[in-house]
Amino acid sequence: MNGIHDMGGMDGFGKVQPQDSEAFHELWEKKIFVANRLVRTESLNAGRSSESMNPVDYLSWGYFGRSLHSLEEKVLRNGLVTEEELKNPEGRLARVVAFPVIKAEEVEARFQTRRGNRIQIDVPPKFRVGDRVIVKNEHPRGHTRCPRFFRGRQGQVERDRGVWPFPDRLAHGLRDKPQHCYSVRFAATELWGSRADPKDRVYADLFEDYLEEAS
Amino acid sequence: MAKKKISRRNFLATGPAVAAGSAISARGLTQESEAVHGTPPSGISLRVQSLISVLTKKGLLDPKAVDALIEYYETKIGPHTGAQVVARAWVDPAFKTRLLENASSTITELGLTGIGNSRADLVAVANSAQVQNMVVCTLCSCYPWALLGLPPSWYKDFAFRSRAVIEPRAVLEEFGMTLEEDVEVHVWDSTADLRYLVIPERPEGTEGMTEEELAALVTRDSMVGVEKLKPYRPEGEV
Repeated sequence: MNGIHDMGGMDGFGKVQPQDSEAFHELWEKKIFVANRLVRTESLNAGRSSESMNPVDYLSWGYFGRSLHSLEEKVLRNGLVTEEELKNPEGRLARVVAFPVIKAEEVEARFQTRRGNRIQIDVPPKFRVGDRVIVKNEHPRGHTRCPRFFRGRQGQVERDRGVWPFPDRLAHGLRDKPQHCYSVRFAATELWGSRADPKDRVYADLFEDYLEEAS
Repeated sequence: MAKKKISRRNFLATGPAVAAGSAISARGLTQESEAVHGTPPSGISLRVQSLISVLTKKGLLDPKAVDALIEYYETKIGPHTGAQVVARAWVDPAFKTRLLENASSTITELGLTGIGNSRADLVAVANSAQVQNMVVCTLCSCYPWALLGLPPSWYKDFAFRSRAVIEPRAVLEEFGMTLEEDVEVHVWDSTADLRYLVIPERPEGTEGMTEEELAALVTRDSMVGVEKLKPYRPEGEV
């Protein structure tokens, strides 16, 4: 979707604050951040739910406010918690059927385990390193990992990064359409015109479905 | 040099422009302002408490696990891990070659397996006298947690996410970096499940140092590509 989260190239957000270098500012930020990671539900890609926030909230809630939104949305959608319970946490709570809760003693092992998303299957690649490609000018309504500022632009395949689930489908819980993901190199001027330094490059990791051969 | 810690509240209190007001500075450009990011609604910490309390009472969340995971993120993962990788790459050119070819498998040589619960593959990109690499995630805030820990606030802020791709040189200047005339800037937008580690150039004056000593010189920001490591001068030497 053409959401507010797709920020590359926007102006007006001010200067970067290198001195603001801690991960957290307040205790509630830590709590909501880890709680969101500990409550795991079957529905995939819950982490992307901040993209469905209204854009005004997205901008004003901050990174950890978006964690709160994400966890609330996840537990409500999965029927684990009701709106009433959130409004009145001291009131009666409905029973929940068995839910796999991660225990303190399991935390380190669970969060150390590397669960790579890449798929070891043989899907023939459509593009080769060095191929000139154009990013399709598509504007899907659902989740996509193709930022707007690359669409319609021409680049060159730098590396083939292997076969992965297609995020645009994975967001809907579908693991069909596994495909190659490529690091694609763009001249900065191709993306930003005369504002860019002709020496500079921008790279993006783009899925095969986002790309077509440059004619 | 001691870094001044500035809380988000201070920004909001002192910054001339905030999201809600979108105040225009004297020169009419919000770009001139300190920082523009949101203010969470008041009472957000209570709302977090309520949610966590409901989840706990319903047996959906173990509060001890919350504390354990916070501790894990704050103490077990961090830039010390990435620094180990960089130091090895500096002393062992064959390791560096393998790292640039396939970082995920190569870091296992250092015993670095299964860290950070990463669903992603790791990619290392090396700086040189001609190239400065820099990492961003414009769509969210993807970051190589396994090697660098959790990202700093500036990495997640809108200013960095929006500007790193369109004006990387201005952003690098804000980090205090000046680039030589002929240097190319290569920006890596982390749009898929690949996480980027920048291998900074080995600083001058470090010849003969051990791998461990070298690792201690590697900063987080240099591995995100927004800092150049300064030539090493032994303490007391001017």
